[in-house]
Amino acid sequence: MLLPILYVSIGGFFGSIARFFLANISNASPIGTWIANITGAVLLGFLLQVELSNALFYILTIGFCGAYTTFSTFGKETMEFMLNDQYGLAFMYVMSSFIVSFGIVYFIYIA
Amino acid sequence: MVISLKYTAYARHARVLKMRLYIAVGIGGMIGASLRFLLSSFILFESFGSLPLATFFVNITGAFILTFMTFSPTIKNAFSKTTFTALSTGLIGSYTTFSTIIVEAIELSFTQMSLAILYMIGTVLFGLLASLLGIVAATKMTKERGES
Repeated sequence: MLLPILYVSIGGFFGSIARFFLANISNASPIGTWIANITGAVLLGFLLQVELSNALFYILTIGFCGAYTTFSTFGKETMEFMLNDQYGLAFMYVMSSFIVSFGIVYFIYIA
Repeated sequence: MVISLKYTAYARHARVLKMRLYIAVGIGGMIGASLRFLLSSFILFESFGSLPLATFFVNITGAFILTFMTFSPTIKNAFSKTTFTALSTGLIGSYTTFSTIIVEAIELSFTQMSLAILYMIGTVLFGLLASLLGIVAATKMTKERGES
């Protein structure tokens, strides 16, 4: 159990830094989270189709992809849109995050 | 000459600070990802029907904690900017996940599309409710502290 935790935390280290980097270059706008969530979901969908060693599995899937993508910031950003009366943007943000990633990953699974 | 040296020193200092912030976020991410992993491995939510309740649990709790700490000046002021970013963006950001929701929903959709849609809508609705509750709780706490 200790070794998997170590692997997951290595992935988590790089995943969170990559997401933070995207947030910074998008001036902390939700675009950074949007890109991280979609690309992270696509990467996870792809990784689950390939043979990975145990260590790589923990590092890349649960660690990296799990930490690179985020739901808490997604929820916070959506609520901030709604508090600013930008309901259309909030709706678009939620729908596009889910539909785009679900669509691409679904295609990866059936391809 | 003096000015350019001074400028170089400032630029270097800024780079060091930036590097420290990134590493702090990374350390937060290590803890957050491990917590998510531990919670979803030990708390056997998954056996409860076919809905992925472990992911649901971490996402909803994380959504509440993030807005609660961000909208609460007391908590925000208790930490340095670096530590706060490590805790919010790093730890809570990595504790919750989006990629797993999508993959779980797709795997569900192969057996029951309706359950997959229910899972995603449920996560969004309860997640937004948790985010809102975090804001409300933080605002209420701030007001009460201000009045007393």
